[in-house]
Amino acid sequence: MKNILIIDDASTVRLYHRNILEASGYEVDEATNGVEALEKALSGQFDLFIVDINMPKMNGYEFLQNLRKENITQSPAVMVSTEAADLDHDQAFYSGANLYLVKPIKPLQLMTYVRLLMGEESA
Amino acid sequence: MNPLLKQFVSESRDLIQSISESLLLLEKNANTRDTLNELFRLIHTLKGNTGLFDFPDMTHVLHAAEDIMAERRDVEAPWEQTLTDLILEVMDYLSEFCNQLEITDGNPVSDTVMAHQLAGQLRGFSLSAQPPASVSDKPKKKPAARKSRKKTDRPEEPAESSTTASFTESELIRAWFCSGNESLLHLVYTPASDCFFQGEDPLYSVRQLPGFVAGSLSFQGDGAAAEGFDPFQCQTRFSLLTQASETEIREHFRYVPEQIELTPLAEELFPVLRGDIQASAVSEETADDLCKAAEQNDSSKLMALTDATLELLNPDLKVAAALRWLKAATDASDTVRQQRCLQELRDLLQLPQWTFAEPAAPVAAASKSDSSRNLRLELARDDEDALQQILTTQKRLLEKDTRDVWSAGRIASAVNVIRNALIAMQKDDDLRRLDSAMEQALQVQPAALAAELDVLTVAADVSPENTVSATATPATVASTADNAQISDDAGDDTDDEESDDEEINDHAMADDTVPVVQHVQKAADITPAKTSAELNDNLTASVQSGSSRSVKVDQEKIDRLMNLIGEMVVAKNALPYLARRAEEEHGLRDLGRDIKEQFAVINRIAEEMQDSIMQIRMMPFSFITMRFPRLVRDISRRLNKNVQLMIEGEDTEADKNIIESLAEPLIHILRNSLDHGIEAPEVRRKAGKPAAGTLTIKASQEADRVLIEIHDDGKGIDPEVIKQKALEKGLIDDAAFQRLTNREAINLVLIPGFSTASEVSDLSGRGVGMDAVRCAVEKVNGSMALDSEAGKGTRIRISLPMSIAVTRVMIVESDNQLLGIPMDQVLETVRVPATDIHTVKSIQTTVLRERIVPLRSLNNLLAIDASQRMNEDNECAVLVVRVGIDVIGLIVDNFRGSADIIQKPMTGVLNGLRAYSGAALIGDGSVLMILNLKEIL
Repeated sequence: MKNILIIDDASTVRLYHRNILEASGYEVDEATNGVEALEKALSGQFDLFIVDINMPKMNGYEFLQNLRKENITQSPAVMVSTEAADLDHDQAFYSGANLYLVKPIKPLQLMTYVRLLMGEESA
Repeated sequence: MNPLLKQFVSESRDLIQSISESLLLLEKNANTRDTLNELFRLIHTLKGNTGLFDFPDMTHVLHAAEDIMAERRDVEAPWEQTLTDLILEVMDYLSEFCNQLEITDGNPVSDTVMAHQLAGQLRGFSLSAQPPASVSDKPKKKPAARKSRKKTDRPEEPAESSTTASFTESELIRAWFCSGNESLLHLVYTPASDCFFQGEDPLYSVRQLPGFVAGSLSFQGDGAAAEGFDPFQCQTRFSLLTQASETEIREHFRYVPEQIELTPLAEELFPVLRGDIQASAVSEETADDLCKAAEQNDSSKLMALTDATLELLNPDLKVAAALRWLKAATDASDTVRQQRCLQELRDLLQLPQWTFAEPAAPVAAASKSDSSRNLRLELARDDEDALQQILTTQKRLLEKDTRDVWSAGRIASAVNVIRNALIAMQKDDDLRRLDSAMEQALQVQPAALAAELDVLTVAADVSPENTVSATATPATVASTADNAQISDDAGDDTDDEESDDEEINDHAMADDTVPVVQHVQKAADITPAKTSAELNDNLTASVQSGSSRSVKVDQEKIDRLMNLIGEMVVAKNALPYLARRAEEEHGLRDLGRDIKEQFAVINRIAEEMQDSIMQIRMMPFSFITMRFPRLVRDISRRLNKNVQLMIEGEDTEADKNIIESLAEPLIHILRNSLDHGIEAPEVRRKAGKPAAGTLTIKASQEADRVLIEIHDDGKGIDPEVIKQKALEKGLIDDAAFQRLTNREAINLVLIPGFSTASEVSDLSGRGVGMDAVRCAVEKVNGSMALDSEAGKGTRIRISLPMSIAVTRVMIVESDNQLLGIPMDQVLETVRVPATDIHTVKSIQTTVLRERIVPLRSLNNLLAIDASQRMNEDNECAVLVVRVGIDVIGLIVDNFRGSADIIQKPMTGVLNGLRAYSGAALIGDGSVLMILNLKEIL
């Protein structure tokens, strides 16, 4: 089973994503900020990261840079944010996000991307 | 309520609390960057959450708040206190919304007018010169320069015209199309509040309205008047759309012409588009297809397209709204309006340029869209679109400057993603090509990797003529093995695009050839295991500093656990009896010893368990004090007083029930201090005190009690005034008036029926007074005392048990029964010789340390017909207790020591026995009744 780590400081958003992903049979773990996420990324194997930008302690960009810098994993990372304008997409890609999506993400849309990013054939 | 919504409400409340705290912090330390950042983040998170649901009012207000905070964060500017007030008001509005959500189970009725008002006021604080967008904006402003939006702008729309805001989209659509070429009228009908007495029936008038299309109701007041609502007054305002002519309407309302307001709805107001902006939502091709179909006047094709696109879109997007309007226009075969909708749609699609597709000029795209294109809308298209976006994104990743330290990981992940995406789409050929390109990249020509991606972007597309193919250029194609296959497709590329791509290629070749190779190699070499070891060292420090883990548990579960362990503690106490029986009745000494040993083990575990469970229920005092800064601020501002609040010992812990039961009394005390204690600044200055009053709340732990001290440096309480008042109210007699010490006099305010405030003010002194506080404190077995010095201030001390789960009682014997008395009421136990008991005015008394103490016989109080026993020295056992402010000696038969018990409330019929506050099981399995001294004395 594939493991996905949701990194977001908003518990509601985490629950929302978790519901979608678990309904499709993925194993989901959560982290509330970049530091916690790095800790989890170090100790576990994740096939995908869904990363919010604005978080306390360590934001999404910094988390990705750390993740990529240490080459902890080559697993894809999707950056999510509330608004298009929020997002410095150059900064996101530079930090190593493999995709950028605007919240709220519709369940079908999210699943399409998740599947492709993790290399799973469509059902 | 569904779990997601529940989570939303609970998180929103937390966020609102944190926002309020940050605001107060901000006010204290002026403009600290960190606080502003934090405040922005909190509001942003809250707003983001609302986006998951359809709560437009909430989103609207928060959006305004977020904009203001973003501005304050980025631009140095003084912080206005009025802005704090406003945001706090917004938080109150949101709290109310959350309450509504809970009450209505997810179908809140929110106050739209209020939301718009708040948002308008918020925008008024914008630093940029633009005036606040007022709700009453005239419609003319509406469809202005949408295209001139800059990339940096937030996608904030001009406020929707008030004439349309109150209608739903479907109503507006209906209105637009049924109006034909007649212009629509917007009618605001505000019936007079006494209209019901004038024989009018506003609702009937509205229902009979000629040409009625849509309507909505709103409240006439400002939203605050919900209290004191008078059902005999008409407070409704109607907002209506009609296609009748103005003369018809005026005729209809001819008796109340002054109550209506007519505004023609200009054609350019439509279509009214609402929703979020997301440019990548619809691909250029789809938009092209739509235009094409419209040009060819092929409405069935257009319908099919709009339907299919709508199916795939998030309905909350603005693009989706435009599509719905377009669909309606097509339905009505209104070509003029169809064009308008299409135009709006195009405008929307061109909006911000952050889309992932290479910015292929729409002109080029249009010229390329030839008639041969067919409409393929298979489901696979969706996947292909997603694949396309993923691949173009990876290309951008690979093209990024590689001088940063994390580029190796970035490249590795991009390669991984490309591979995954190709696997997912079962494009085996492309996968093989990718592998060979990787090999090449590692060996010779790193640029080939980026180039190969271009090829893949082409190959991955379902329709070869698609605009994206423009990204494949002869230059890149030449570097691949399969150029022949592609060149046909790429043949008609424009010069423009070619030079663009060459530039990219050159760049890659010249600057980054070596680094890319190195990094790709590095990426391939480094194994996760190896790095994690290195990283562990780097990260341990930062990781350890953060991440507190906690679990939210339903209180009921903990209560249940608490009850169970209580029962277990009692049940285990049966073991020693069992051991004794084994020894004495059955002569099994070994077995008795074994049971005792086992008992010791179980005893230890049970006690530890009880301790841990009690720990779970412990809450820090800060749980209630965190509300106080806001409260004190609001109240003191309203009273024009200057007050500094100091809170100490916030991390002192006590049982959840105790902490919670303390909230109300403490607020009451705070209000009292602010209202009656602390004087106005001028008065204080005259009295030689600093203008700002100080209010201190201190919590500390002493043995198994929690002490809370509230101190203000206000005018204090005058004992003479209190005594006088108590005398007037008949609470004390003349003798007491003479006898009472100052301290005792002051404590008279704790007696029921005493309220010192001569007039009832809005804040405190609602007639409940301090005795309500005392009651609340005593309910959880606490006690309180007052201490005041005129002109210097007042000090209130509250002592509470740390946990109400376990009560310590004194066990006494009377008429061969055991009875318990809560330890915190017991002052001392004494043996009084019978000769020292005197009867004064038919009351038995004795002198204890030069003080007269009235004595009462417990048997007598409980109506037991037996005299109290004395010991062989003819001494009575007297338990000196404090009830309220009275000290009384209770004559009992004997003392039996103290015990920890878990008090259970009396239930059923027993509940009527006021003499007992509860019952508990003691070690031998018998029941111990706990006396309620206040009731029997």
